[in-house]
This record gives sequence, structure tokens and C-alpha cells, in this order.
Amino acid sequence: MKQERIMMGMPISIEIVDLGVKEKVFEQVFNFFTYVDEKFSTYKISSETSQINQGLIKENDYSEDMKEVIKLSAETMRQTNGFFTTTDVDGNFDPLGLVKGWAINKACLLLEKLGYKNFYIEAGGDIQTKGNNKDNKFWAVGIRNPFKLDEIIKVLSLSGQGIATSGTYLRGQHITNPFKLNSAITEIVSLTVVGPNIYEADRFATAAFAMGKAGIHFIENLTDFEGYVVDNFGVATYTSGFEKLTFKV
Amino acid sequence: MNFVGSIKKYLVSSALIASFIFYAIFQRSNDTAVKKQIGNFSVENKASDINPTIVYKDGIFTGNSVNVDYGNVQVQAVIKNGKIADIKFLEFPTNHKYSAEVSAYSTPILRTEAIQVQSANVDVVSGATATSSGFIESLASALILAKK
Repeated sequence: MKQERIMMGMPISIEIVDLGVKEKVFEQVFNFFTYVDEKFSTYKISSETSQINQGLIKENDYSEDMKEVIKLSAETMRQTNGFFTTTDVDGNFDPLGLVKGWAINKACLLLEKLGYKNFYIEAGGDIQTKGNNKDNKFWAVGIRNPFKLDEIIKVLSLSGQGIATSGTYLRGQHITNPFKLNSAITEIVSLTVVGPNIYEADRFATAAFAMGKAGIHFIENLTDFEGYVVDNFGVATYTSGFEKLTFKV
Repeated sequence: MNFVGSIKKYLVSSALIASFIFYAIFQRSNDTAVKKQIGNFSVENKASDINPTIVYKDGIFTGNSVNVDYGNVQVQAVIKNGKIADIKFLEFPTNHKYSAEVSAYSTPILRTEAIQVQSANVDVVSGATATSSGFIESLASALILAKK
């Protein structure tokens, strides 16, 4: 059974292939995403994030989830040499770079707790896989062509891992990068990271993308992570263990 | 040795020519991709407002600032002779420190390949949707202003 909703400004899809899956379980997962949106959104005035930025909540009174996200953000910032940060340009607190992966991971733990073993949860192109698909094979996960959104340029075979892709819209002659107006011609447009779970994959994909061409080296140096980066010539560079994840017919 | 030398020269010049052709083709396909994406993207709210066949008013039009996952995206569309001549980013997710140094480059065990379109027979797709949807939303709002 598969369901999809547009939430938090992005499509969220859930497919569960276990026998006897109940429809109400989808509702539970979507409700969790609603909760996350209400709590962490930077543009909802009532969210805890906004309240923190307005100085309305003391640190001791932060919710448990907020404390956890702040702790994880600090850890990620250290591990990525500051390429991951929760401080936005205006100096405000913005944890959203980490919250999506964190939320997908939590939602998967919820499904596991309810006894489900074969499913995936996808939110805005970031995916956590568990077990097998309806054909009792590993999940076949495509990587989207950053130049043509309806095409796939790689198919991976995943079971248990998380996969996240960071990127920008096509930058070509028509589109100018505000930071590197006269930059070298080779730039990255899409960076995919496969990791032990979606929380791990997402936070490192976000940070590695910000590193530009160096990002794929950063992923290569991490244990249990693989990466696939596409530059603006359509040339992909991938880590030494990536090939093993690709779908074999 | 002479023979080897000329082979090398031949290989180098062929590689140069090949990469030039590849570059030229790719730049062309880039153009097509932009138009196609702008024309066909249907998931987003206002994508129907982006249509390459429409004749727009000449001028510079600023789109809405759209919140995406890790920041805001805002674009400006430059219309010349009724067509989109340029799209500039006014805002772009910036909560990353681009200037920081990255330590520890890995040894060259990374591999490269030209991307190739694969069979679309998959369960689910990974891609960066957030920023691109913000881009399309902002561009669409700019083009509403540019409509005649």
C-alpha cells in the first residue's frame, strides 16, 4: 500500500508492503510530519523555532525534540568542519538542514515499533528504505537526472540504508550563481549520499554539497557512506564503494 | 619511440576534439533542458504560469522569495524580445560557510563516468526537489508580472 501527501512544501510518500498493513498507520506517520512542521518550521510564527528566535522560550524550557535536534546539529557542525550550520544569514536559528532526515528516520522507527519490516518513507527526494519491496527484492531507488527531472541516471538496490540528494536547479548560461559569478566552469549540480540511515545520509549530503567539488572526497573519507556527484557537464564522480550498491539485473 | 609519440599526439588531439564536441552538445542540451523543465514541470502550484511559448513583456521581473529546506530562493527574470533572456538568483540558500577549508582530500580512488539515462522502472526516486521547486515557484511569480 502506498500513500502520498504534499506536506511541508514537498511530496511525502510512504509505501508499506507487509501483509495486513492498516490504512490508519499512514495517517499516524503523516500526523508525525505535521507535528514536526508545526514545531520546527522557520516560517510559522507559532513554531518553537520561531519562538526561540523571538527570545520567547528559555533554553531550559525547550522541548525534548528541540533539545535533541540542537544537540545533533552541534555534533554535525563539528563533524563537517562548519559546513553544516544552523545559523542563517540573519543570525537566526534554523535547524531545517537536519530536521527532514531526522524526521524521516523517526517516522521509520515508529513504523518498526508497530511491527512493519518492509517499507520506505520518502520526503522531498530523501528516502529511508527497510526490508524488501513488493517483489521481495531490495528497493530499487533511482537517482534523478538534475538536468531533466523526469529522467533517472542511476538505479540502486537498497535495503535498510538512507539516501539523500542535495542540489540546485540547473545552473547553466541562463542561471547565475550569486556566490561565484566568475567561478570555474565545473561545478556540482547534484550530490547523492547513501548512508546507514536517512538522518546520517541527509546531514552529510547537505554539508558535502556546500563543500562544492571537495564534497565527494569528504564522503569518500567517511566509513559506511557512499556518494555520487554530478557536475554541470553531466560528468559523475563516485566513491569507491558506490558500484556495489547499483542495481544488477 | 616516434611511433608511440605520434600515437600519443593522436590520442591527445582526439581527446581534445571529443571533449570539445561533448561540451558543445552538452551546452545545447542544457538549453533544451532548461526550456523543457520550465515548460513541462507540472507538480508545483504555479508551474502552469511558466510557458516558453508565451510572449512576455520586456523588462526585469522579480519573483517572490520562496522558503525551501535550508533557506530562501528568489529569482529575477530578464525578458528580452518577449523571451526569457536570463534568470538571476537574488536569494539562494546560504546557511553554509562556503569559505571554510576542507581538510583531508582523499587519494584519487574516486571514479568518473558520463551520466546516462536508465530505465525508469524503480520503486522510488531520490533527487533535490526542494530548491528546484522553490526556483520554479519564484520564477512563476516573476513571469506572472511579465505576462502581457
